[in-house]
Amino acid sequence: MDVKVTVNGETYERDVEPRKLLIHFLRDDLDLTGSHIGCDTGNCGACSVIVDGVLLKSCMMLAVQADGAKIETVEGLARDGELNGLQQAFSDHHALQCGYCTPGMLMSATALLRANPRPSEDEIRKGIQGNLCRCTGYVNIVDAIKAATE
Amino acid sequence: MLLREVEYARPASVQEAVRLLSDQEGARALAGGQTLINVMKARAASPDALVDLNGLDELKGIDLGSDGTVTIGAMVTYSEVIGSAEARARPILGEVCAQIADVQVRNRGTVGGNVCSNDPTNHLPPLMVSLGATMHITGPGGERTVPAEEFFLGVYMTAAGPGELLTRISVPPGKRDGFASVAIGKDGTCIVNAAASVNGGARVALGCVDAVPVLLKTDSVEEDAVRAALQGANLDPPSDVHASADYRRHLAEVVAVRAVAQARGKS
Amino acid sequence: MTETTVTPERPLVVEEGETRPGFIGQNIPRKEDKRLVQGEGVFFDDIKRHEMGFVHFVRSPYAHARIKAVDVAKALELDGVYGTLTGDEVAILTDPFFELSTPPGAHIKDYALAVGKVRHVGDPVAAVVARTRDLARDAAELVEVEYEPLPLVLDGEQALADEVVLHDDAGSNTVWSGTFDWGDFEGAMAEADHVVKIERLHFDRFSSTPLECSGCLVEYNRGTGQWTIYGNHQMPGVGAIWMAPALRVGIDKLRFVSQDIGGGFGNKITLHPQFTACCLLARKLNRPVQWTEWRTDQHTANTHGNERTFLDVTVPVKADGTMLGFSVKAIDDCGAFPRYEPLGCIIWAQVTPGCYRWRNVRVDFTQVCTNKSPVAPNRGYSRMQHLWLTERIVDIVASELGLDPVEVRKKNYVKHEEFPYETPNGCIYDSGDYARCLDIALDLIGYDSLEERRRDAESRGKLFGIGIGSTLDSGTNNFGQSMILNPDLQFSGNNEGATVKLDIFGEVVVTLGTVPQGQGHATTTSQVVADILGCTPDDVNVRAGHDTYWNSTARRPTTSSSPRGRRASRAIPRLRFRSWRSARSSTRTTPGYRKTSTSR
Repeated sequence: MDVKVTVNGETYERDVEPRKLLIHFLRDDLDLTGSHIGCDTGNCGACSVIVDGVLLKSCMMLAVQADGAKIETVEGLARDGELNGLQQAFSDHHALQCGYCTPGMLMSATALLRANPRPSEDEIRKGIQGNLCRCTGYVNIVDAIKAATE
Repeated sequence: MLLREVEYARPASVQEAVRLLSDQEGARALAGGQTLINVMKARAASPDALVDLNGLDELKGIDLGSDGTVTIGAMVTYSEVIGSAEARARPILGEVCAQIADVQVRNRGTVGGNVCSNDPTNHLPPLMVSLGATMHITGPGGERTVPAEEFFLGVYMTAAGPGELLTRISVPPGKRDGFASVAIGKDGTCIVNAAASVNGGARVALGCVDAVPVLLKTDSVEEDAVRAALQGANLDPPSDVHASADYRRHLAEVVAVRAVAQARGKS
Repeated sequence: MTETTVTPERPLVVEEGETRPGFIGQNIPRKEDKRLVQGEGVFFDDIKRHEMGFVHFVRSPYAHARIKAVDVAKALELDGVYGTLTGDEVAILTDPFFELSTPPGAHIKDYALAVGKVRHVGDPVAAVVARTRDLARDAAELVEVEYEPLPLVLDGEQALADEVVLHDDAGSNTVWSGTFDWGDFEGAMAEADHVVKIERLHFDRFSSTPLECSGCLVEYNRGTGQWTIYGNHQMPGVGAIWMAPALRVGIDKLRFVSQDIGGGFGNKITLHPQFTACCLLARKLNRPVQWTEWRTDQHTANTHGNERTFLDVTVPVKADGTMLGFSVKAIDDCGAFPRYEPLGCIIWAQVTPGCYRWRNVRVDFTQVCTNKSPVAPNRGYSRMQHLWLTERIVDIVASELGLDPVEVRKKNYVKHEEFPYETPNGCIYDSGDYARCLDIALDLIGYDSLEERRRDAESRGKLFGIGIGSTLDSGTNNFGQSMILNPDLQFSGNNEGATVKLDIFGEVVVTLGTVPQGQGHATTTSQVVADILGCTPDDVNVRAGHDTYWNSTARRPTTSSSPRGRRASRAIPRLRFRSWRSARSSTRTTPGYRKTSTSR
């Protein structure tokens, strides 16, 4: 089926099988490999992207369902190589180690801060509940998101 | 991660969706996909075709009737329930939806999908039973309604049969409701859950202990009465890696008491 | 590269008598972050090659079964399928991977795919390569395998009885066994006022579960006969030692490349069977092949952490609570294949008495195979199981003799004034003040008020538990103990190469052999090099990631931080500080050259 999407402002059109997941479409067909795959059950959140303003896990959506959608991924956060405030805060607060969960974590934090620019710590924790990190223990991630609001 | 081959259709109306579902035996409705797509990834289920209900405005929206009845479209997401002023007329709806999984899943998962998948660990089947909700089903033969307590037929099976669609759920007015669960991690899969509504006596619906929610009605809302009802119910819950049958039976009583206490505490 | 915003404060001793401000120990921004927060990391699954095929393994649904037949015909008929690999082919094309253990474990035959038998659920029986990932899985479902289920053994203690034997070639489930006897345990028993006996303790199997699953992309060059493996093997140097002889080639035929790895924790140390299968497929099909492990595969069939049962623990104790040592029979369950794991039979000996002044220790250690997925050295492996034992011993002794768990620890800890302290088996603990550490920890959690909090919890129907664990770990080592396991094992020394060179714009370029999985090797190495050369970390480009072309072996990350710095520092005398400075100053004065040596 023909799928036309806009990802980070750029338009792509591809012929895809209905069974293809959005995450595989992004990674394998569009070569946007920033979003990752960490599970096959929808638990880990490494594939989180924003589709038409809605944060979701791109491993639980078919690529054909995204036809006509405006998609935002981690690759679209920085502008001309300049990190945005959230990305910089992640670096400043040592909120990443291996960096594998980071793209999904950043997208969840991005969606959180759009909906709630001044979240409490509890709201931050709830906001990244769908994202697993195996390195950091989350404390620094929470600190980074908090710092990005200041 | 890799699904079997599947056809995909995006109907423009509920009528077309029903036609697509009835024309092809192996067709299944795709709601939020937060369960179905995962099951398909595991190849535990492989429908021949998916009929995508996303985009059907007829299945969207939450209405608050003049009598206080809240009517929720089947394709309303958990996040939409949480954010809806209309749904707040029956506060437990948003409170329970906020306990389901995580932001991403709540943004995509739907009320209709939750009840129609009828996984015994789901949150909404016991809730709808305790609330005495009415399920509106559309099929080739037209519309019909089914009380929630008759809607759930077995594991993954409901009264919405092949070729039929759940279109909306009506929840009668009320406020004195509770929900308690023991889950795997915060907001994780339930090991046992219970929903309770208090109106004179209590309606307590238990999840995870049988193929369908187990409804217990008590005349009194006192703790002893709830415990007695649980003990008299002769629950025969399954054992699994998370809980033995005995432990689940014990927890059922604990969460039932908590849910009723929560409901009693509301005015 | 991130600009360093920190000004060095503390002086660094470079050579005797020479000091200057240093970056080591300073909190500087990580060099890795700028790429990673933009999704510009390069993980194995991000790499693509023209016409590459995707590998899917056909896995056993049985924990123990004889393979009667494998038929790939239907899979090959599917349009888009490039080829298959079966255990029979593997048995012809490769030799079994070498075993670290002495007999009986030495006789185990371990191949890239199951040969003759499957020994755990998920044991790969065949592999299929196809044009897409989905097709590969479709085709894998068409491979017909006929199994004859066999009785199975899942428990380490039961495995000792050898009623069900996994490896007929070894003739026993025992991989390795040995008795370690230090001090004078009989003497200690004679001296004891009490003897505490613990019948059985069990340390469960677990998994550290990195967020990125395992995998690789393998290319074969027919001209050179060389494979290039873009993968997330955590210890490619060791992987090559397993793979090359099995593939009947020299180690130079295996080039491992990795940049970013999404966590390792030890789970990615024994990927050689899957990687070998991919090498065979890349050669057979003459095309690049890519294998991505899915999480369900990882949970089911990839490596977990060792399970260990401790039997008949005997602890001689003096009337004042002084413990004189302990004896134990330890049964370590390594799952279906030992692979790296016989090393776990001895690696705990780095911390034999834990934090305690125990002089008499006797450990009767046996490792066995069971019908569960193989284990690998997960996070602090083998020491963790052992240190858990020492803490259980202390708490159980305290409980049985009515002693305070804090006081009994302090009484038995190695004392601050005893450092450097030599353990009964000759390890040197260089420094420490364990009693003070414990006091600080207790203070931080408000230990004095815990009883009160416990009562408060009880009043709310909750239980409140208090647990104390005191551990220490061997930060770095050269694996010399592997010789205890097997005197013929040429496993010691951990050679590693680092090169430091001055490049065209005056930038310092460092290559390392380590395989970082999030530890920030590029950053910390740049600090070491900057201090020695007198430049800043911004001036130092560290090639993060491994490439066999310029690196030698690559080893475990937890033990790599200190030797890595030393390796880099040893490489530096060849690159004189002055030459760096003159080169740099000349580039600065040349119009058109960039101002500072930030990264490209």
